[in-house]
Amino acid sequence: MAIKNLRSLRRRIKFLGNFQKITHSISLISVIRFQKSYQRISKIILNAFYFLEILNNLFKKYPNLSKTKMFQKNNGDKTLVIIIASDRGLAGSFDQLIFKKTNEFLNSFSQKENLILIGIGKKTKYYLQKLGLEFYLFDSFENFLPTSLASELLNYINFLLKSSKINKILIIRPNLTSGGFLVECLKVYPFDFYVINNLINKILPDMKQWKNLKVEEINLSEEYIFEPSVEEISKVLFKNIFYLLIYVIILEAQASLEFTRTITMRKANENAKELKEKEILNYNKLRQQKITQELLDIKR
Amino acid sequence: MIKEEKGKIIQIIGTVVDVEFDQENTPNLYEVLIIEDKNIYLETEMILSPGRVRCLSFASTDGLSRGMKVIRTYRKLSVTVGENMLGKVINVLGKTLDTNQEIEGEKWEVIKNPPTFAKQKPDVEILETGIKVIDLLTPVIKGGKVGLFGGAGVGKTVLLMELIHNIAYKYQGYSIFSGVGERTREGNELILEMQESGVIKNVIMVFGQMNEVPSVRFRTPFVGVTLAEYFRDVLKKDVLLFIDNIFRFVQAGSEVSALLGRSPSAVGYQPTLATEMGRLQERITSTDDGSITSFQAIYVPADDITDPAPATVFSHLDSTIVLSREIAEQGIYPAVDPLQSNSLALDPKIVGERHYNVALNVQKILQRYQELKDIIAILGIDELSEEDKNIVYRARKIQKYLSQPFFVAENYTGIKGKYVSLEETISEFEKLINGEYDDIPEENFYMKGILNEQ
Repeated sequence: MAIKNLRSLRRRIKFLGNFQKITHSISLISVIRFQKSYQRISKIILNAFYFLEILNNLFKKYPNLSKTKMFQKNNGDKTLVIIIASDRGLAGSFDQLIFKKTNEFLNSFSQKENLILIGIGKKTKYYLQKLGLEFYLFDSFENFLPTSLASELLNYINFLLKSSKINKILIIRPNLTSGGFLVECLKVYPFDFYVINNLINKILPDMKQWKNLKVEEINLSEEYIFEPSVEEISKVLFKNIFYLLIYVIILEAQASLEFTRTITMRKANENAKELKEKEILNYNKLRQQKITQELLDIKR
Repeated sequence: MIKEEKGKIIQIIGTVVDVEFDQENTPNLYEVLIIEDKNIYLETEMILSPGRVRCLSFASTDGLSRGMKVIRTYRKLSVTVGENMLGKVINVLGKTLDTNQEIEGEKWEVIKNPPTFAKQKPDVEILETGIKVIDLLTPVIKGGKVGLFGGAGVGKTVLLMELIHNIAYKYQGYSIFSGVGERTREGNELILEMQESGVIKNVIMVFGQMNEVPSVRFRTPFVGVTLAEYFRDVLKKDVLLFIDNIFRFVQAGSEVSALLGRSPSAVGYQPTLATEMGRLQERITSTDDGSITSFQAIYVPADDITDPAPATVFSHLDSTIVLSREIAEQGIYPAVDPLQSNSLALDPKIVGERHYNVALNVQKILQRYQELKDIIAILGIDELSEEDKNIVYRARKIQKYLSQPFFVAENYTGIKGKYVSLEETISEFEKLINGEYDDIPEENFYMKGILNEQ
């Protein structure tokens, strides 16, 4: 039975009004973060493009280079899985979708002992702890994975690659499109030109400003001397592209998170508005009822 | 021996009849008078002047006229009491509804004073009802008063019927049912139900339903209490008294008050509301001889619990069971609101530490769920922390598990009724709050006695 009085209704209407303001602010902040994040991504991607352009020129100049094995291929039996979830609240639906996909993957993966898990964001900690799995965690950062933590993560991947433990790297990430996002399990290692092409296509969303990203023409003049050798330099470039792309994927996932947060906050704002309107109606009904009651009492 | 001194009707307004006697022959207050030709009973409510009294009629005044002869009876309204009344359905005058005959036996006056302070017994003992939500969250005290609050159609009467059924089943005790101002159909159903379940041999039913005049409805609870008092004081038994619906008693009092010309008080109720309620409720108590445990259905006008009628009843109750429309709309029956219902008996010294802690934790979980409902409505359940999500899932299971199939509702639900002992109730909810049932889906808890029953 609803025991509502005017004071409690007034308090509730005020609370809902404040809630609306908060959700509106968070939504605006998320939009700004989303844009900043993509500016950052575009800079990194430009670097990757730059390296790719140099590689392209080198391939043209030294046709024999294409026969060189660019990246080591391991024969280890472990699979590295990177799970990207939120580090802070108000992105529950994003996390749910990521964890759902992770669950699907884990259920299909029979040899759990061959899994190496890396969690990015505090929420992966609770999730993986609940499953009773061992994992490496990169959490407690502000909004985006900072370069310090990123280099720590990439060093760790480098170590695993060097020690020949892993033969596959998968990233569970949201695939952001203009119509929303779908979570996918993206293969980034073994790394080759086909994977690079695929990753760049996936990273750049289907939006005008990202499609027009172009790098300036680089002409390698005859005067360049490649030390110690062209092969060594191209290998280093290739490796850098690999790490840059991994970092970009992580940043892009976190940008999607901000995008989801924006949508969640907008919906919350609408819901709060609806509730507020309902409560205002209740408040007015109750107020009118009380006035009528008082008038009747006076009449008596 | 009854002396007969005749008076005559001088005024009739509705059910109020003014009668004039000789000045030396003024009737006493609450004395019953009989209109000679029509055999209609009147009760003296006011002495207007020596010889002139204002009375309320216990039947319709249609066909009465000024000058009709009225006989004094020199006694207040009385009813036959005793074991020979068991299994009978009577009206406010003590006559059976089917034969309209009075039953021979000892007669007790309906209006009297409550037991003295020294006679009342303060001991507290719990009465098991077999209904999970009541036993767990609003335990009933033997000799206590339980109020069933609820708007129209939320299941007050069904719950009362189930209580009668369960208590007769468990304790084989005597019950008195006072039907005040409710639908005649409901009374009829109750009688048939009692006959079917064989409970009727332990029950006396008094009816003053909504088609009756206000004075009848006003006196019916008193008749019920008088019948119960006999079993308590003379046969020294523990008796159950059901009143459905005490609000109608207030309403009848209000009509009577208006008819007698008293100025209305807050919200149009009678100025003597608290006094009338006190006179009735104070008689429902435990003495050294025995106890009267009463269950009173209370209709809450416009679902407003602060209305003077339910608010006046509140102060007399030991336990309040609030039936909520919101819960009834979810299909959860009995629709007891676990957060608004309470009992004085829910104290570790009375129910024990274990019961108290389980009940408290159940209420805490439900309270937290209530708080989280707004967040869920605005942000969605995904935004809750893992801990809060667990609370929500458990709370939803608790809500469902507080439903129970009733014996008296078997015809409606098609599910066999279940009696759940207090021990089973406590242990089941202990498991639920400790997370032992976390893996069981929510719908498995709906309309169950206990979860793993055969």
